[in-house]
Amino acid sequence: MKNKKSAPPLNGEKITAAKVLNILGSSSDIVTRKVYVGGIKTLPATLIFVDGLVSQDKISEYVLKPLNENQLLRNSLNEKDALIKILDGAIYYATTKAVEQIDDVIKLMMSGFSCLVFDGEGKAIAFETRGYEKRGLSQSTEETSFRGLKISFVENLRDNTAMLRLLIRTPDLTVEEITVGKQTNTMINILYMQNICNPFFVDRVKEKLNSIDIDKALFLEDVIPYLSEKKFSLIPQVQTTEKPDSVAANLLEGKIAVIIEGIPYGLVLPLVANDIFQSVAGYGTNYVVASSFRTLSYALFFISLIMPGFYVALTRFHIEMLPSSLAYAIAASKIDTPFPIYVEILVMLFTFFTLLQASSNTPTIISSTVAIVGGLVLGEAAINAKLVSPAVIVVVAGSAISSLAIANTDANMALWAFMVLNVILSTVLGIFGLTVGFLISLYLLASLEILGVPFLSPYAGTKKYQLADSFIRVPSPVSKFRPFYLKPKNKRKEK
Amino acid sequence: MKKKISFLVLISVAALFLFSGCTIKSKTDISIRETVTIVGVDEVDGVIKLTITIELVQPPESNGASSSVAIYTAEGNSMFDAIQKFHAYTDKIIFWGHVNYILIGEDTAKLGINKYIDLFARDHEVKQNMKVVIVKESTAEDFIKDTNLKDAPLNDVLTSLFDDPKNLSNDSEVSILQYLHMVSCKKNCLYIPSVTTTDKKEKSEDDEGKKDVKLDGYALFDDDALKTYLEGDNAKGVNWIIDKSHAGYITITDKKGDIVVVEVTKNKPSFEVDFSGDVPEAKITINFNTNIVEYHGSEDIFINGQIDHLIKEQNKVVEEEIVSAIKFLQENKTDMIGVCNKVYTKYPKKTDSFDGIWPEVFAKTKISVKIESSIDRTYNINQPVAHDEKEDEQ
Repeated sequence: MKNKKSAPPLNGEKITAAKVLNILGSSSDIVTRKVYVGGIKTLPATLIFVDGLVSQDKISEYVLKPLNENQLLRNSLNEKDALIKILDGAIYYATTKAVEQIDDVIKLMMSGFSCLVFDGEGKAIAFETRGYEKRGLSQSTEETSFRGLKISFVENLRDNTAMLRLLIRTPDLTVEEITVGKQTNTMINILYMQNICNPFFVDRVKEKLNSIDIDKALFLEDVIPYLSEKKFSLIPQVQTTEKPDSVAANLLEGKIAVIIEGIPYGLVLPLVANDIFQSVAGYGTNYVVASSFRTLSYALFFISLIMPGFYVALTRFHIEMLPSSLAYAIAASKIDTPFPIYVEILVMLFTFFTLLQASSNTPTIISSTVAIVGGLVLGEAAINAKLVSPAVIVVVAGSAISSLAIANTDANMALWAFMVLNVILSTVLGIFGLTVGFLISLYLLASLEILGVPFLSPYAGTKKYQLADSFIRVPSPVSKFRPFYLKPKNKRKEK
Repeated sequence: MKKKISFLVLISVAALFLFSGCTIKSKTDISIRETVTIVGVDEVDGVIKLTITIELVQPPESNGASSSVAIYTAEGNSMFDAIQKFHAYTDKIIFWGHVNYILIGEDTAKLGINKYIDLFARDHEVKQNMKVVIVKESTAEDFIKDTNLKDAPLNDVLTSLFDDPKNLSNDSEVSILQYLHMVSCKKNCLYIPSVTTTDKKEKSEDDEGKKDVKLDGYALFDDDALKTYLEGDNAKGVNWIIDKSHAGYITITDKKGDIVVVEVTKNKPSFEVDFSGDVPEAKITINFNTNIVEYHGSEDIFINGQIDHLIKEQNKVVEEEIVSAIKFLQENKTDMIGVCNKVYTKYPKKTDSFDGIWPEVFAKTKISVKIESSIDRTYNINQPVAHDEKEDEQ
């Protein structure tokens, strides 16, 4: 059903207060104030704004007061003359725009502007009088910061771009704006380094954002699928971060960032497999320690991907591969448990996902209780009730903890899906099935390209320096080049 | 293009399912399997009798209250026939993937053992590193029943003993793979470690009638039939040549006649063959290193040429063991040390002329032995207390 209030195509027509109000309807938060420019009764104008989005003080002090008292305006001959005088500085205001299209009036008002409409001239002047309440800067809650920037993005777009401006103080940092969402008219900023970023990335991202035809852009997932090359893929194709330093570092590597009004996250493109294992915390510590943790992340990724399936395959198909003592230990732990091992594994994985879901849906204080109840009480009770064997708990818990050691939440979710796939295939075909599952995962990863960059490209480097920041983190003085796969304008970052 | 790729992926996955070796039969949970650890093989009057030990899975809280091993026997016209009968003894599936030892009774081994090993070599389920052992002067069944204890299952005892010969150096394991390799070298003599029983030294109430296991050197074969045994120092001598003497010990005396025990830390045998006319000659060089681990005297080992003396002594002991072993092998015409194999490697055409007569040729082969050694660590105590006391007395 079409929304009857959607703006009719009025561009080209004269702007009048009546037309603006007609479009805005009878919303109670629309405020109109009839004023006379310079107090002259023959020069009426209508100030329209959305209550709540504007600062009443700013309007009173910097718009209405000079509008009424300014000497220049008192001598205005007509509306046209008054318009020119206002734009020339009779009303001394930082951001003032002359508007000639009625659609622009509506959009600006919805962004916190106040519009002074001159019916006679059919034009309007918009004053940037934003003044809504917003959240102050706060510490990141989802990403850890070790010797790094503590603050995270907030809902306000300008605050976010300002944070990046403070981190990258060069005119080469370019910010371009696009509006997305037919109903929400959400502002989206595209950020990139003019002197580094591959121009293809910029064009492609703009093209993608411009092609979006959706009602709203309120959530990340409203926009991310349109930025992804494969909309329905489970594998993350856009890096999501709430840390400005992470976005800044990526911009300086030659990537492109997208920031959405109202969403306290930055999106970074293109995402490659290597980014999943990198965390900002790794750059705040010694390179040996950081490299060790990164190598461990790779190992943990494969452990969590394979371990549950491998355990099912070994205990179901390939018992001879187990050392005898381990085989007896596993068999002993299975005494009196009624279900086969693959059922136990699937049940425990299901329990793990349930706990995650429960934790994410409950307040922080309660979620820790949920974790304790789930992890300790439920696990212990399941063993005592002979529903699952202790070895299965160890395998599933080990895999779950290993997967959570990876910084990227989206990658974790993809990993869990592949983990379950591997368990199912291993149940049916043993190690053979596990190999098939692994190859399917590899095929999906290898066939993925984001902005023309293959997802696995970091590992395809043929020269040593191309692998510099992948499996290990080399110290900064040695890391002289930007990632080769991004094809940046300026390849060298240090001499 | 995408359709083609999808089709190919679909076909590949379907093929994986259809041609997979993992059939429904092999899909059995670990909890419903019973694991065989030892298989004993005997044959009497054409009837094959198999004796198996099954490691029973016990809950951790049982603390060994009941026996952890069950022994079953079954007879059949063939190995497979006998194996099938075991299924009647248990409600679980018998799993052969963890068989560690195949024990073959002496009388049965004399009939030829290839036919018994064949089944295990073919089966995909069993590990190829399972070991073959000959039971000396007994049947496999009696051996298993006599030596399997509640607190010390035979499987554990054999594993412990075969790990231990590194310290005794008179025995070594032969896996199925090694067995097949030896069988494929026709002119070499097949050898398999042998075990026997001795009277039990420590007895508890449960051990009434039970015996201890003893490693007893090697059983030597003529083709695949048991011929004789290589025991004691002779077995030790052969181990020097075939590089199975990794950590044995040698007891020697110093110049004053005090006992010195040296531990072998490294052994590097080398083997060269040549021809003197049509008769092959073999030159064996043994290069080993030792540490002094025990000394009953009080002399400083570094003076008066003691070290040189000890090296000569240890060389002499090893040479005697090796010469004695070679003499035994030549008398029995059994090429256990692989001279023919060396000849074939160096002179492949000449070995053709030895077809059917190699045992006789081996018996006449001139085999010389050269021993080189060194003592790496003496752990010498320069001024032992006993030494001072003796000086005071003088």
